[in-house]
Amino acid sequence: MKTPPDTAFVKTHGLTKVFKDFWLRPRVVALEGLDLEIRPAEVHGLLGSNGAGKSTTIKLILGLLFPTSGEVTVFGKAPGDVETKNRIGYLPEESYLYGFLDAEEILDYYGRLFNLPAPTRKQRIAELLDMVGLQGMRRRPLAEYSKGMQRRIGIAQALINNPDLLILDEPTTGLDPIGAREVKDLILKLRKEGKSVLLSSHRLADVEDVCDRITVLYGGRKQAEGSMDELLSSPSSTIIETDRLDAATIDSISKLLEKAGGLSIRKTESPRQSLEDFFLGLVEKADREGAETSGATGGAGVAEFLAKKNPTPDTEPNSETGEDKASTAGEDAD
Amino acid sequence: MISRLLSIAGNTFIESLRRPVFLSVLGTVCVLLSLNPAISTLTLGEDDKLLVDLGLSTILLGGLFLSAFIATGSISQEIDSKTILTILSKPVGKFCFIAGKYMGTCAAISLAVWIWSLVFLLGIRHGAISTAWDNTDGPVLLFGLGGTALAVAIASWGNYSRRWNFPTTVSSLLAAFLALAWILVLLTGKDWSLQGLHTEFATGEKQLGQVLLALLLALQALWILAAISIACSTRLGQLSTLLVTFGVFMLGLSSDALFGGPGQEKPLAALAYRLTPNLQFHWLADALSLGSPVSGSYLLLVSGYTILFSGAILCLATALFEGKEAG
Ligand SMILES: Nc1ncnc2c1ncn2[C@@H]1O[C@H](COP(=O)(O)OP(=O)(O)O)[C@@H](O)[C@H]1O
Ligand SMILES: [Mg+2]
Repeated sequence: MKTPPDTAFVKTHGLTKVFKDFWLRPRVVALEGLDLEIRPAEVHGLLGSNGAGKSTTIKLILGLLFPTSGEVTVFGKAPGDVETKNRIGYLPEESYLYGFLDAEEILDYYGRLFNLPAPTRKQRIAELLDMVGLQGMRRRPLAEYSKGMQRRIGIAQALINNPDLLILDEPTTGLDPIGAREVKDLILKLRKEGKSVLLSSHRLADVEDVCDRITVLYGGRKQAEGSMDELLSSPSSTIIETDRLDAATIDSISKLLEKAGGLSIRKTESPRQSLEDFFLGLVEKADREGAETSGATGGAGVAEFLAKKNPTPDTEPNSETGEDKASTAGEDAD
Repeated sequence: MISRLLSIAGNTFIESLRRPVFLSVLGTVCVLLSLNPAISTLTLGEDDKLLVDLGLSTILLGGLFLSAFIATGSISQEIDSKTILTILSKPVGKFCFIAGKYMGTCAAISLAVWIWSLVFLLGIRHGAISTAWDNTDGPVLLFGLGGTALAVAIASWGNYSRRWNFPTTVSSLLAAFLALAWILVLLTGKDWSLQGLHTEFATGEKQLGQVLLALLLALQALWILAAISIACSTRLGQLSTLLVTFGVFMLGLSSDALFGGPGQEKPLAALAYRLTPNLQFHWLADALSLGSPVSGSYLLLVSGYTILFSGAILCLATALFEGKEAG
C-alpha cells in the first residue's frame, strides 16, 4: 500500500473541468489542461486569484467533482477510491460543520469514519484540541463558535487520521495571525515527517513562507510552475544585513564598491519590525500574564501523534473492526 | 463498513433529535393524543372506535410531518452547508452514506412513534370520557402524567446543571418512563386492583392486539416515506422533496382507487399502480372499525413488502447520488 518514494502522491494530466448549465451547455471553463504533480514530502502551493480554479482542482483530486477530460491519480488509484481516502486529510474552503455537535463529538464522529479505535480517538482528539487552542471550549456546540474557531476545528478534523497527504483549501482565511502562524508551523512540521501538503491560497505571504514548489493558476490555466528558488530568486542583486551603520561607514563601503568594479549602493534603510511579530509579541505577553479569553488561545504546538511515523496506514481492513464495534455501542446515547 | 454505517446513522439520529422541529412535532402530537379521549366523546356511541381511528390518524400524520422534515433535511442540509465534502472525502462509500442517513432518520421517527404509541395506548385504556369525570382512570392519570412530569423534570435539571441536551434527554426519558407507565397500568385495573398483564388484551371489544399491529404497520409506512424523501433529497431541494413526499403519501393511500388495483388491465394504470407504494396495506384503521382482524402472517407479508420497497428505493437513491457531483 505504501507508495515507493520516487512516485508522486498525486498526478494529473490534461485535467479539464467545464461546468455546464441545465441544458448541458458549457457555462464556465473552470480548469483547462492542468498537469500537476505532488511528490512525497513536498509542500505544494496552488496560487491564484479568486475563481482561478484552485478549489476545483482540489475537488477533482478528491473525486468530489468529475473531470470533463484528463486524468487524475491519487496514490496510484482513481480519485474516488474509498481506501486511499484513509491517507488523505482535507480542509474545505468553507467549513460549516455540524452546529449541533460540540468540538469533541465532531472530532469523534470523523475519527469513527476512519474506523479508529476508541482509545486512539480519545488521545488524538485531546492532542488536536490542544494544538488548535480550543481545549477550553470543547463542550460548546459548534454553532456558538466564531468563524475562525470553526476553521480551527476544520483543521483538527483534517488531521485526525494522521494523513500522508494533507489538502488545505485556503486554510488561513478567517484565522487570526497566531492561527495563521500555527498553520504554517504545522505544515513545515508535517513535511519534516515525510508528508505532503497541497496548499491553496490567494495570500502570497502564506505561500512564500512554506511552499517548496508552486503552481500558479489564472483563469483555469497554469501560468507558471516550479520551485520557489527557481521562480523567485533574482541572481542579479545581493542583500547584506548588519547592525546599524553610521553615515561615515556607509560612505566608505560605497567607495569600496566603486573601486571593486564600478558598483554602487542602490538602497539603504533600517528595517522595521513586522506587524505580525509585533502582534504576536503582545498576545504572548498577555497569555503569560494569564489574561482571560472566551476565544481561542495560542495552541500548544503541533500534536504529538502527527510526529510519529506510521509504518502502516491507519486502517488495515478487518484488523480493528472488532474493537471498534465494541466501542460504538452506547455512544449514540447523548 | 458496518461501524461507519452506524456512526453516520448515530450522527443523523442525534442531529434529528436536536432539531427544533423534532421536539415541537413530538410535543404537539403528544398533547393531541392525550386530548383524544376527550375529543372522541363528541360523537354519540362508537366512542372507543373513533378513539382508535383518530389516534392512528394523528400518529400517521404526525409521523409524516416529522419524516418529511427530518428526512428531507438530513441530506439536503449536508449538501447546502457543504459538510458533505468532509464526509465524502473520508473513506465512506456513497451507499454507506445513504443507508446510514436512512437508518438514523428511521430511528428518530421510530422513537417518536414509540412515544406517541404509548400515549395513545394509555388513552385507549382510559377510554372515551363520556360524562364529566365519572369514569376517570386513576392509574392511567397517575402513571402517565407522573412519568411525563418526571421525564421533563429530570431533563430540565440535567440541562440546567449538567448542560445535557434537552430534546435528546427528554425524548429518551419519555420513551422509557411511558413504557414503564403503560406496563404498570396494564397491571392495575381502573379500581387499583392488581391484574395479570394479559387481562387488557383479553377484553375483546378493545382489540388491543390489533391496535398494536396497526401501529407497527403505520410505522412501516413512515419508513417507506422516509426512503422516498431520502432518495429525492439526493437530487432535489428541500421544498421539492417535501412536495414529492406528500404527493407519494396521498397516492399511496389511494392507489387502489386511482389505478384500479392489482388486477388492472390498462398497461399505463397497471404500471403506475406498481410504481407507487401501496400504503393501504399499512392502514388498518378501517379493518379495525369493521371488526375484521388481521393475522400475524399478514404482518409478515407487509413487513416483507416494506423491506423490499425501501431497499429498492435506497438502491435507486445511491444510483442517483453516485452520479452527482458533491462540489
Ligand atoms: N458548481 C459550480 N458551478 C458552476 N461554476 C462553478 C462551480 N464551482 C466553481 N465554478 C466556477 O469555476 C471557476 C473556478 O472556481 P474555483 O475553483 O472555486 O476558484 P478558486 O480558485 O477561487 O477556488 C469560477 O469561475 C467559478 O465561478
Ligand atoms: Mg476556492
